[in-house]
Amino acid sequence: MRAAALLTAALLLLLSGCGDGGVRDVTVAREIEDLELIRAMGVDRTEDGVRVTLASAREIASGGEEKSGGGNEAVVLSQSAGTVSQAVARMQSFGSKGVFYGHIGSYLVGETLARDGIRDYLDYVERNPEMRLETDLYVIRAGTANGAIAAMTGEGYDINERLEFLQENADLSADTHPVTVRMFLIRTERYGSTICPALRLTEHREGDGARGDSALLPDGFAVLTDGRLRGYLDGEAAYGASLLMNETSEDTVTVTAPGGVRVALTLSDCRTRVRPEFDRDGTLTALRVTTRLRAGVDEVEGRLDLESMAVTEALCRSLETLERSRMEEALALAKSWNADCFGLGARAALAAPFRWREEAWSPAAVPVIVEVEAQVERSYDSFQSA
Amino acid sequence: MRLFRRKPVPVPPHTRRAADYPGALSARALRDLLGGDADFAARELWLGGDPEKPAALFWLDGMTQGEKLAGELLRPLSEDQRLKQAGSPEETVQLLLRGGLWCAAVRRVDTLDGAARALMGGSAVLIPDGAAFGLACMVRTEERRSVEAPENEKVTKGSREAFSEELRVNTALVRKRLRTPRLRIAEEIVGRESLTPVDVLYVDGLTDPALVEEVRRRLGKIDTDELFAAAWLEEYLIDQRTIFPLILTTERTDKLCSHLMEGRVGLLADGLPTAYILPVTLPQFLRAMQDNASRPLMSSVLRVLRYLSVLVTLLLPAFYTAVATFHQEMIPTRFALSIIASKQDVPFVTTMEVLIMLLAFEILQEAGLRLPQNIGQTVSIIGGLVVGQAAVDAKIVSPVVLIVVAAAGITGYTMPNQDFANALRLWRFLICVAAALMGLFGITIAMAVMLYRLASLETFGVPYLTPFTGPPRRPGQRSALLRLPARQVKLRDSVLHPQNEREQR
Repeated sequence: MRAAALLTAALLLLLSGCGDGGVRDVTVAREIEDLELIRAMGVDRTEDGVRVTLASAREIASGGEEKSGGGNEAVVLSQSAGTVSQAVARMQSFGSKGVFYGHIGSYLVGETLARDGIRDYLDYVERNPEMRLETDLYVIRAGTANGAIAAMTGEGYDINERLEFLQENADLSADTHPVTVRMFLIRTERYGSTICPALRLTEHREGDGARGDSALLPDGFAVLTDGRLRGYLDGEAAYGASLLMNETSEDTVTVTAPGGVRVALTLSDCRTRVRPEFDRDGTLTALRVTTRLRAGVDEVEGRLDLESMAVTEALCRSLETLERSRMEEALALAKSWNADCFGLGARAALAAPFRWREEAWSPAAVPVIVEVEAQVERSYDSFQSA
Repeated sequence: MRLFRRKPVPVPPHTRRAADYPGALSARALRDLLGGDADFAARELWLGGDPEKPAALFWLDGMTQGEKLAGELLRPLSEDQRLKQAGSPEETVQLLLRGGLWCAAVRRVDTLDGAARALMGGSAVLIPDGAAFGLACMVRTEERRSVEAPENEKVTKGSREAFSEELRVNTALVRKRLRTPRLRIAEEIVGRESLTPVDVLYVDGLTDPALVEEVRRRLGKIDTDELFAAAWLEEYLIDQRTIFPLILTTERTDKLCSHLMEGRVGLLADGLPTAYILPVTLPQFLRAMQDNASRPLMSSVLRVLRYLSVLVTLLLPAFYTAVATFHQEMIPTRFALSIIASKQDVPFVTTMEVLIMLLAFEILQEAGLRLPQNIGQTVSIIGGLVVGQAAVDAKIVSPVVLIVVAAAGITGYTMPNQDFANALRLWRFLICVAAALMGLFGITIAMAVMLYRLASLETFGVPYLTPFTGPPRRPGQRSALLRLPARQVKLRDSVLHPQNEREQR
């Protein structure tokens, strides 16, 4: 029995590819308390390479409450080098703990580096066994990742809290949604272009909920073609981008009802489909983007007969007009960069796989027709309830 | 293979013969043999009050019941006038065998060895003067522990009868519950000195005769001086060396009957309040009689919970060791931060922490078992709460390790069979050491070795992992994971080769 057990174990070791890169790599023991858990990683362009900035997670006391005191605050490490790997390797010797990348949740890219192209710098994320492709990707608009991390990390607060909040509560706002490194790479490979959320470091103002002197706020989406930053979709275009990407799960919009009464509507169900249109010769003539929305009345500033079909119809038309203009604005910007950052071509190809010709599709040349069908449902009538 | 085997050391053979006292029976020989014993008692009689017909009556004080001795033997022997009128000694014996003695069981013994064994069994031996034979009259004392409720296999609904140390009481309990005349009780005497009767129970026409034959053959092969301990019978019957139990033990009469009706063989040994059931497979150790006392859905949920508990009690400390030492990326970040915070100032590495706590848990458990029940509970509470908390406060171990070890220990208590739970406890240590050496890879190897070992086990020709290995379950058979409604169980387990596979219409 002992011989058989040993033989089995030996065979399993062989199956593992024991040797270089095999068992030895997966059996390196490190005590968890000797590790500095990095939660955010930022990469910026420097004159002779890159600057990598790391922010560790703040430690939590055994009782669950966050500890106060310098030793337990988030640690920010920064190093410039020719490559990300080199910078990261140099930082291993910093501090009293080993740097551990297995808990990185956010990958921040400075705008300068984004303009040069981030694809090459994501290669480190792909190859490092500790890092995860599920890491969220952000572009720091008009700033550097190092600046954002440094500004947002201080006594009693760190950038990770903010980034975690943005990731976990992305559903609350329709002008941003998280994009992971995996999604970014796949979309870049398939569509050529894609979007990723942009963050802007601003000065702290009263009421923005930020701690410290700065605030890190979502600021639309960065559009990247082949990994290079082309521009930003912000404002109404950002809402349109989320609709086009089918990422709007919840949003609140304000429309004007007959009589000038302002009504807040909450979008609850948004679905966008893309269909190609061909002429008799099979030539692609247009893409038709159809968005179906369902919304409930959230707030009415004035008296309004919500049971009236005419009022409901008017609310629907107003909502359709608003959302159509948002999407058209986003599409117009994308068209100006000749970027299919919403993957319209790939989605249209799935809708008509046998008639689709890839070479016929060009974001700049093929018109995109936007249709919005809205359905407004009355949630409750406060006057009748009273 | 010589690399792993030690050179065998010769041991002296067991040379004594089966019969200890082969000589002829006589009153004098019996006195010579046992007369020096303090409990040996003898009385001279005149059969039918005739001085011409002396006889001697022998018994062991304490093994016999005085009332029976006086009422069923002494009184008829001295007052029955037919004994006086009997001519030859043979005629006297026939008269005694056929009603002259009032006790229920009388048999003739012709050897000194037989007479001595009869005395040890609670009989009184009557030897007419000059005769080379005797009459063994069963007047055994009825003093025994009453039938009590089971201590370790309690149910909220159902029978509360447990086996006791008295073999005949135990067989009677089975007979009372399983009233079929086809219930067979065959007896083997095991132990040259202890002379322990071991009864083999099975249902004729249902249990595989080859299985019964094999059990009796193995019982017959046992050649030892004594059979006292509960585990010895299992060790003698099973050839394979493993920590996992290969014979199911129970103190519940209904459980034994239930298994007999599934086509298994039961063993009852005198002096042991435990029944042995064989052959058994791994799922039997995860079934509790309580399952049959609850609704099928509830029982199924509990049974699945027990299987999950096996994994938790076996793997949780090892898994924690592996992820905290090798695979920190698997831990959710907030939890990882909690662990780091809790391990601040703890001097031991994770592996040592876990092993220390596992060892402490086992020591506490052992201490609780050895002490009287009330003190044992106190030790458990003090050990678990006070010492545990003090160890955490003193930064000897981290609270997470305390929780992990406690959770693994407590889930181990859900096992219905203590022997199986003990096997899991030992493997828990081994897997934990493997995890400490190679992380999840080590756990995988340890589990593979354990599964290999389990898959190589069999009891009386039945693979231990049945029905997880072997042919698929037929519709109508019992499920290992779920407790099917009683109406749906139509067939007995085919691996037992029952003579009648159909259990109900």
